[in-house]
Amino acid sequence: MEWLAALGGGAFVLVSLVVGVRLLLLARRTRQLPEFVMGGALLLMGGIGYPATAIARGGEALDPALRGAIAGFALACQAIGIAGLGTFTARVFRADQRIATLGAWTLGLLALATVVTDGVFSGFQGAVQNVGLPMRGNEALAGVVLGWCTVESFLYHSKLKRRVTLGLASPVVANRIRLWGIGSLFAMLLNWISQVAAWNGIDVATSALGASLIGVLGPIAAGSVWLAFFPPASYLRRIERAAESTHG
Amino acid sequence: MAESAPFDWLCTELESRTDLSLLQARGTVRLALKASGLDAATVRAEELAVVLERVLPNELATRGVDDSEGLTTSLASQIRAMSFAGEGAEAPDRVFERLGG
Repeated sequence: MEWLAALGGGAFVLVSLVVGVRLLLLARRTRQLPEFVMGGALLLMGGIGYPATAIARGGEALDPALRGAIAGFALACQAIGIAGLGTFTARVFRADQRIATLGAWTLGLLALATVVTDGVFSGFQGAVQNVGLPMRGNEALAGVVLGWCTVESFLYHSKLKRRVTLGLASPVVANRIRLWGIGSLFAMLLNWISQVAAWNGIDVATSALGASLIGVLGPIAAGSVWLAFFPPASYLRRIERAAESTHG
Repeated sequence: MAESAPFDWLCTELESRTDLSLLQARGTVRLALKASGLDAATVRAEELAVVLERVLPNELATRGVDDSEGLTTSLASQIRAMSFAGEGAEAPDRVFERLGG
């Protein structure tokens, strides 16, 4: 079963790395906040934080202080990623609502607080063992921000579908927003399953059921994000043809 | 939340060129925008022009407005020629268009 988890987790890491770097390069060119925070979040959460967590938790032969440092670094990546995803969602979908910006900042600050708390009270051994309130809090905050991404993407996609019929929006962009929603949804499901398991003393990454779930849900999340930001030309043609045949 | 300048302009025009009150005009345009997946706070002039051509003729006709086709065609060309200050925040679809580019 471990190979299935490695496959699912590996796909997620690879896609997060590639898409994250690509968006950061785009941000360097455009100087725009959305691509910077989304690229940074993907890179830090999925591309760096996730494998660093796996190394810290699985590296039993490593020095405990080193494992703690790696786990603390991974937790910090996750916290900055939470702040980034929250900022992206607030800035893109709720640009004119101050409460959304406030919500994003609150999520980010609470996530950073979980890092500081775990570091101060356990020297990041809580993060190594995946136990303790700061760990559960950090994971819960990631679940909240992924849920927010999912809801906003699907809500906006439902509006955009109507605009596509009037020729006011591109079917490719509408599909991209839906794929981002699907990617967020499956990442959120993985997060929630991991949380429920952790509350029951099970480490999803090392249990047989958890490995199967990561093996199935991980590639769906990764594939959706890949298709959203690196769609093959044949896929784009299919979306455009489908829109033409539906709306004329 | 405040409505966009093109929305306010269109509602005022409908009030002055039809028998609709300003409240009725605003309600009618809001319904048309909702059916089109748009909203009054962020709608841009170009989007309103398309709504005028594709959705509002029927909405106005059902409210007893004479020659709704002629009126909406005229308003659509007028609104396209106008410039409105402060188009507001970048729409999410524009951001996602850039992210895929």
